[in-house]
Amino acid sequence: MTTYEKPIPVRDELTEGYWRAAQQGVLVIQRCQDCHFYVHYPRELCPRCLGRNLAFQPVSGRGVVYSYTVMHAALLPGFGPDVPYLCAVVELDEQRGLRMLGNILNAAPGEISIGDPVRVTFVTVAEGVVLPQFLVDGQASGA
Amino acid sequence: MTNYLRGATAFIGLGKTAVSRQPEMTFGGLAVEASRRAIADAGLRPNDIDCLIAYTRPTEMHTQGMVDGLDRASVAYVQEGLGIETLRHHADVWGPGANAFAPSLLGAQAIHGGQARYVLVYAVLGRPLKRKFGELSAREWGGAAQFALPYGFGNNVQTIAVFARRYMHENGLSREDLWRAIANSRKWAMRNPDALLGEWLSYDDYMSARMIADPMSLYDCDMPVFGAWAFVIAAHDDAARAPKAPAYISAIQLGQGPRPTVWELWDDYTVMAPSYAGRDLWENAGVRPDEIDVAQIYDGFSPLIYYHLDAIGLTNGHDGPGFMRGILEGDQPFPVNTFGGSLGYGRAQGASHLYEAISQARGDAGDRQVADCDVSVATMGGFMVGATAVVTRERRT
Repeated sequence: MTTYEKPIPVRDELTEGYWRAAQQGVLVIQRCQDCHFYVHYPRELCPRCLGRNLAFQPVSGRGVVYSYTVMHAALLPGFGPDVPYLCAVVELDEQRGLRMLGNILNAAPGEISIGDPVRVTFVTVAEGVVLPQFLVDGQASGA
Repeated sequence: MTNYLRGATAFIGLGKTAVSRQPEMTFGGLAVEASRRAIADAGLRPNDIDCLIAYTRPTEMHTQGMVDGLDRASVAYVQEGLGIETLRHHADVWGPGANAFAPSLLGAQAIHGGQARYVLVYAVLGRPLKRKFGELSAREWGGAAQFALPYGFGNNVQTIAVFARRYMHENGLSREDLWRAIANSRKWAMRNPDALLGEWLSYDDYMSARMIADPMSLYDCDMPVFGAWAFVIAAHDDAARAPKAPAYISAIQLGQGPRPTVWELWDDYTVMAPSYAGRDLWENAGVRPDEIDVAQIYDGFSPLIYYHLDAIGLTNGHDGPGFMRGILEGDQPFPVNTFGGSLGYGRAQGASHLYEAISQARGDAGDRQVADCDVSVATMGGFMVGATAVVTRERRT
């Protein structure tokens, strides 16, 4: 495998479960087992009820584009060849305000709008490193 | 709540260094030089100062290998540099959530609370010296960054881009409106010899500028600079005896928004922390919005002006874009960012906005002085950090 220049996630005690599930092609988000609130990024206490009963739980992987930017500059290592690339803020269907970041892989800059439906996909970028990413739904890509 | 600080204290001395793209002094040197000037402007000597409060922060948050005096300037470093023997009260404001107006509020509180008589506060800013802008010191990054950097998302310009995109979508803001925010700051920067971007920017030149993170182009971002700004604060009765006119502090307010460690994930991209710093501002300051003579509205990125105008309700029935159109096209002239703003003067993270607001209220703004200026307003912040300030020539109680 050629050298992967981009930053890769560093797992920690709180996020290990998230990245392990991604390796198996499953998007999981922490959910409070007491008040059923989804929590992202992972924490130890639920910020809504302050309980300690959080567990990773699979989600649908479907959502909409809340906002996005088209990057015309490579401000991080390894992104030069990707410019221009799409960075999206995705709101997952499970809960209002439940958001995550990702790139949209099957749309060119200019083809994306706020509110577009997206679904998760998984990309292996390095040995043991799998990133959840997004595809615009309902386009002809068939990806 | 009652604002017990209204009219209790005043700014009595100001000092600053020139701003520059490349460092002309270390952080410590800049802080001591600006402080020395502020103390002299207040008619005091360094050992009259009994409280020192710092805002010290590199442009980027990554702080490994930073050396006090070189890359930041702590109270300890500056106290020693000024030859101040002892302090009764002191604080360093820095790190995530550091707010450039916080030292002034803490200073006014210290005086009103009886912990100090003469407070010196300063802000010193610049880029980390040994690293290119935007460069990371590690390829791998943990914490919240593990969910952002792998996607090529890891710089404030991208965060403001996604906020602005959403604001434009919901509120009908256009790139022409963003240009007006820049044009207004540039218009005033042309009258300030200290400003680094004192040239007019035409709409055509703006629209053909290099895009960084759409809709943020090069000109929508302020320019990182090195510089320091210092302020001396005293009780109102000491201020009345100061050699130069004081600017009385009617209100300084801070605010922090939800999810302050991961603001890219917060709920509503059309509101930022300045809205929380703007709550009840006029009531607390004892002034009406129609009494404002001059306003320094934070413009570290061009869209921020519109968030701040929403936050303090200065537009008085107009929407933000209508307000800025009126300013630039002359049918509603109002002085905003009279020093050139961050977009024309350089990135001072709000310290220069407060500095200019005080200068205007003291009648000390030179060629840019607004005639008969009494009520002077400054705001700063973006994302999770916000602050507002009202200073006046006439003391309000």
